[in-house]
Amino acid sequence: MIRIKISGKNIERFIKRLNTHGINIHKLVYVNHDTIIITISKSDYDEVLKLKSIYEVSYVDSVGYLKKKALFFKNRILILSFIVGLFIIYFLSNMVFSVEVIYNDSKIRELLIEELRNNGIYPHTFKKSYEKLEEIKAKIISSNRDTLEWIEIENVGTKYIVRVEERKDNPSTTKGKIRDIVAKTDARIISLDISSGSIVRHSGDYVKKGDVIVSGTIMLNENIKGYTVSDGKVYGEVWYKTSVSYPLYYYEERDTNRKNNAFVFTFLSKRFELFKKFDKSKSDEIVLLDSYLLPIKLSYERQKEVKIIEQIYTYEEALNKALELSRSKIEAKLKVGEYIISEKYLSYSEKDSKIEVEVFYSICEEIGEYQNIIVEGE
Amino acid sequence: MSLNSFRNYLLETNFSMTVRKNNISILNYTRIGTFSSEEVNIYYEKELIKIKGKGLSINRLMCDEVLITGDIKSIEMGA
Repeated sequence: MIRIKISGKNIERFIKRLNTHGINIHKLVYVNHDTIIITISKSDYDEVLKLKSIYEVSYVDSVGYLKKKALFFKNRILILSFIVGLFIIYFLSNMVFSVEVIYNDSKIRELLIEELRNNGIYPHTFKKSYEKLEEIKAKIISSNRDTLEWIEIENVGTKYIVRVEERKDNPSTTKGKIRDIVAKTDARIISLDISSGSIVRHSGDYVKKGDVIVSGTIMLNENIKGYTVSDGKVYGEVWYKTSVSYPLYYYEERDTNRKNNAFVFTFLSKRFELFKKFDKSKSDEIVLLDSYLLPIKLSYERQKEVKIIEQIYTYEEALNKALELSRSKIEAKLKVGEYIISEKYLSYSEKDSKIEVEVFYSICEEIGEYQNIIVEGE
Repeated sequence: MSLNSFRNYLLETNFSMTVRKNNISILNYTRIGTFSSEEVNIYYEKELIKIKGKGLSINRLMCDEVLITGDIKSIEMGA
């Protein structure tokens, strides 16, 4: 649509002329009695010029689509610059110009930068969507499960800031993996049952407490090549000197595990038992009736039968009994695979109706204990 | 609704005249007669519609529609 200005005498006649020739006037504005501005289709403009005769017709401006087109054409450089500018801003704001990993350990930093690069996160690339970042984080964590505990990728402007938490292993589990087997006491090695580790001391060797018997350090040409978990059992001959005493007169009340309940009536110091069953017994007494005025008492007793063992030993018998007692005490401490190699009494003496015996034992027992290896730099 | 009714609804072909406070819109007129700021004559077939008033002006003049604005005093219709 265009707007044209028409001037001339009897302007109404010209309007009628336009109407007669089928020219649509979309808008008509009177400027004064002989001048109007009309809005017509651009295609009708030529027809108007043909019909103008004595009237003055001049182009004013365009309206609608034509106006917009003309406006665009006039400001095309500005508009194009604006569009290009917007595109550049969008382009730059969606680019990553640096990736920064915040962590003290340079190894972890380098590892993460490499992993991020493998997953398409490096400078001068486009930013990733939130879902994609989550996917990348999960992928990096799963492929570095032993090293990384957690990572976070934060988008700050045109920078990715990556925060990381290194996996700290529990010392009681992992630190113990690398270990030696050392002697826990002075001994002579009898046998070794080793599943892993490097044996440095052999059967028949005498070792002192703390000596390494099986090493977890793997050596090659006097150089450390690695570490392993020493595992196994070492049995050695260990020597003990014990002292045990045994009475020459022996008295023991031994439970027979038989039980009885009885009522007991006591008058002065005389006991009268109802339902008496045992000759000798130990009992728990529940007093049912006790008089302060009269020397009587009624009680209920839970009795356990006891057998009295009373013995008077000669020196020889007492010595054997002492050795037996000493041996049973030693044997009670032995574990599976351990045994007494030999025993010998060294001396004995009598004191307060007791015989005191010193016994020397040679015992085969497990002498190995695990000792963690502390590696420098860890 | 028949097809013709629908067509008439979209493309009105009957003569109609809508009078508002300060303008009058006439559809499907036959031709424009004389017009001035005080009187506009419009024909529909052989009938003459005479609009009288003050400061009358044609604001839109299409082949089938004319919009007249101004202080409309009277509308006369007759052969």
